[in-house]
Parts: sequence; C-alpha cells; structure tokens
Amino acid sequence: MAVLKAKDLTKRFGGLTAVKDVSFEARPGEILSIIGPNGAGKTTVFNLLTGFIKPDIGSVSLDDHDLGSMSPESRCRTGLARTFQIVQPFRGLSVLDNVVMGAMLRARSIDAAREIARQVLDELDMSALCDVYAGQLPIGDRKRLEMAKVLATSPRALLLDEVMGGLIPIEVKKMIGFIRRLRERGIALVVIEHHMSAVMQLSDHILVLQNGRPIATGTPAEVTRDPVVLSAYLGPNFAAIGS
Amino acid sequence: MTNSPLSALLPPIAGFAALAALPLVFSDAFLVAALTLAFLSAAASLAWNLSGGYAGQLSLGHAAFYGIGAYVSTILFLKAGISPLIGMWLGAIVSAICAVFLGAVTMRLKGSFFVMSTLAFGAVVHISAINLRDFTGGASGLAIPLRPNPANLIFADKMVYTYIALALVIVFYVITRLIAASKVGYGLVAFRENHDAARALGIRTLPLRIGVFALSAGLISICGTVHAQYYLYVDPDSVMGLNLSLNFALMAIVGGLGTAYGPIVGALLVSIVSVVMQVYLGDQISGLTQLAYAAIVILVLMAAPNGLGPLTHAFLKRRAAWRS
Repeated sequence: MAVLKAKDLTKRFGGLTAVKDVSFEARPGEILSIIGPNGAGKTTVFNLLTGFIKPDIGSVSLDDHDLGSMSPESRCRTGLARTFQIVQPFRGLSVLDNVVMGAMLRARSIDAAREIARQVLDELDMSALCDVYAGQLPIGDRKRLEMAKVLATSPRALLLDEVMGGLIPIEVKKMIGFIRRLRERGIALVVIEHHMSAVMQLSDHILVLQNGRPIATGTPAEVTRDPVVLSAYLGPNFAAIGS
Repeated sequence: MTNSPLSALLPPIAGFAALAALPLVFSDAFLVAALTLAFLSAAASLAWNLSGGYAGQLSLGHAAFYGIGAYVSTILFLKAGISPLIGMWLGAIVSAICAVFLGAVTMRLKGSFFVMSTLAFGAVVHISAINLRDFTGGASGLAIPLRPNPANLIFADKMVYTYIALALVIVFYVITRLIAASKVGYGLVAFRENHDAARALGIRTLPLRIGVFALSAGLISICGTVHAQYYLYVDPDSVMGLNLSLNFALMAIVGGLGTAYGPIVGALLVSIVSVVMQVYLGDQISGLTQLAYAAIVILVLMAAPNGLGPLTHAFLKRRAAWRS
C-alpha cells in the first residue's frame, strides 16, 4: 500500500521544461532516493509534491487521497512534510521554539508542543542546543534543526532535501542512522541527496532524473549498473568502459 | 533565575505599581496631562504591536481605527445619547470589521506593499471624516459638552483619565502576554520570521493574521474613545492624523517590537522626550523641537536596533546571572 503517489508530474517555466512525466510511489517504511545532476529538477519535484508550485500536468496523492490544489500548509496537516535544501530556520528564535513551531500542529497547547519538541530534539542529540538562537548555529546543526522542525509535525510521508549537504563525515554517519530509524517507524521517505555513499546505504529504491526526465529507476544495485545512468553522471565514454 | 510563576509576575506588577504612583508624585496639571497622553499612547502602541510587532505587519493606518473609535462613540453619544461606555464597544466592532475587510484584501501583499495599503486606508478614512460634515462636523470637529457623569465616561477630575489610560495599558499588556504565549502568538511569529518555513510546518497564518489585525484595530479603537472623552473634542487631525499612526509604530519600535513591555517603554520614553523638548525648545526656532526629537529617536535606534526594552532586559539578565 503506497502512501505517497506522484503521477506524470510535469512543470514548465516558460520555455524550460523543469520536470516532465515524473511518477513514483513512496511506501511506508521505505526510502526512495531521487538523484541526478544539478538542475535535474529534483527540488522542483519536492515543490510540486508539497504544493509550493502547482504542476502543469500530473497529480499527487497521499493514501489515495488526491491533494489537488491544496496549499503547502494543508498538505503538511494531512501528513506530508518537507525540509528545505537551503535551510529555513526561524533565525530570531531559540532552537526549542523553532521545533515548537512544528510541534504545534499536533499539540493542543504550547506546553504540550514544547514537550514534543524536547523529545524530538533529544532524539537528534540536540538537547544541549535548546536555548541557542537558530541564527547562530553552524550549518551541520542547522540541517539537523531543519529535520527536527518537520519531524515535530509527525509526518507520514517525509521529503528530505539534501539534509547531508555540508555535514562532516561523522555527522553524515549519525544522520544515516537517524534516517534509518525514521524508516523503521513506518514513515515513507523520499530523499534527495548528492552524498552517493549515503544514498547507496539508505535507499530501497532510486529514481534518477536528468533534465527533468526520469532516466532510470530501480534498486541501488540496478541503478549503478545502468549504462544510461553512468552516461548521465560520468559521460558517455566512461559508461562504455563500465558496461 | 527561577521560573516560578510568582517571580515572573513580580517585575510587571512592580512596574505597573510604579506607573500608578507617577501621577501622585508629579501632580502638576501639565505633567499629569503629559502622563495621561503617555499612558494612552502606550495602550494604543500595545494594540498596534499585536499585529505590527508580533506578526511583523507594519501598519501605518492604525490612526484610522483610533479615529473610528473616537467618532463612533462621540456621534452615538451626541446624536442618540448612547453612553460612550457602550459606544466604545460599538466603535471597536466597527473597527474590527473594517480591519477584517482590509486585512482579507491586503494581507496577501508582501512587505512594503502592505505598508502602502494601510497608509492609503488611513488617508481615505481621514479624508472621509473631513468630508462627511453632517456626521463628523468636518474639519472643525465635534465637541462633547462637559457634564460630568461617570455613566457617560465624563469626569471633572482629569486624573481619573490618567488611571483609565493606565488600566487600558495593564489590560492590553495582559492580553499581549496571553496571546504571545499561545499557539496564535507562535503562529504570528512564525509568519514574521519566515513565511515559507511556517507554511511547510502546516501553520495557516492568514486567518491568524487577519484575526489579530481585527483585535488590534478593536483595542486601539477603545483608546480612541477614551481620547475623545478626555479632550471632550474630536477632529480628524487629532484622532486620525498620519502622525498618530507613525507614533504608535515608532513607540513600539523604540521600545522593542514584538515584546509586551516594549510599547510601554517606548511610549514613556518618546513622551518624556517630547515634553522636555517642548518645555526647553518650544519657544526657540520653530521646528527645532521636531528636529531634536527625530535626532534622539535615530540615536536610540542606532544604539539599540531591537529597541530599548530588549536592551534593558538583556542588561538586567546579565547582571542577575552574574550575581547568582
């Protein structure tokens, strides 16, 4: 039973087709990675899924419920949440208050939201940072804060946009462990990531985009052997050697 | 520092007790009048701050709501004999309804476009008040006869108004604190800090912003009624002028935007500065008062970009931490 379905998503910006005919399913307890060179349309797919941009063609559904023209905030309320590639903290607020903003969605009061926020921060090893202003955090912690904020909304489907970008190796390792725990909880995960070793370790399925079009899909092993993918990433000559 | 409710309540209670003592200490009629105006401005600025400070929706049209409050209660009193004690609520409702319509149209606009639209709204209401002579008495305004009667909110002793204004300050302060600590307040701050991030967390800010804009308009409208009863006179320039709107915003900005105590600190400071300027510079070169006033405001904001309130707060906190 698929939780999040995208069907034939297509978006043009003027003469540029940013995304064309992208379809996939993200199932509970599985990780789908979307990879592709810069400008392949990965983040645009996230914007289409979350309603920040309206698709020209195609549909998005959560649990067979068509999200149609729902706003981003309504989509989050139904359980579809995202992080931003360029992190969007509430700079002037403490780390705890940042997470409270997410936790409010499922909490009755601010006190209850604060309780949820503390738990989430604890899971992410961020308890010590509660009172620090978000604007003062180094990039690694900002990425984790971005995760903490959306997790506090208790999503059923979660879109992670390059949460490992800018992290040092030990942080990447921790993040991989954390994303696995989210998978175990039964959250449907869609991950955009440039960190290839992380993608290979985490993914159940991979969707490869190039120039907005899907060029391959499959398990990590299948995708890495696909000559079309090798050609897209490394150039046609290298792909010929590999095959 | 402890976080017990009592120790958190102590500073504001002490602060308000000190404010209540001020008119008794400085009982000179001129100073009491200045204090009354300062308290009334503080209350108005607190109301402005709910929307302008917490949601960051800088309105330069709030004088329109202040004026609507003053005119609705005065017209109802003069033409229908309805007590301003009732009229002020009707004025607040009229203001709130206007705010809902204005907000529904303009709150989709971003940043400076919203500011411009509130500026235009203020100007339209101001001009309407001048031209609807049958209702408003036009530019010459409306006078309320001095027949002291508490039921009509008319008092011979002007100091009563000082305490009415202070009561408004306290009530508006409490309302501000309650909202700031609620999901509504958090939602407004989320919008102010980062709209996209707020949307991505499922926070529907538009209804919150319109609601708080209406509340802010309603509360400031009550200040307008008290203004009318205090001066027993309303005219478009004194209750709807652009300078009023600017003052409400300025006081909150000087004191600390989006804090509950900021507008009170700002209103007191701005009032003290303007009284001192009037006394010492009033008879000198014309315009010097305003010039000096502007210079002081600029200096304050350069020294404390977040306003004086947060600066003092941080200072006191540091000292407390150092002591413990």
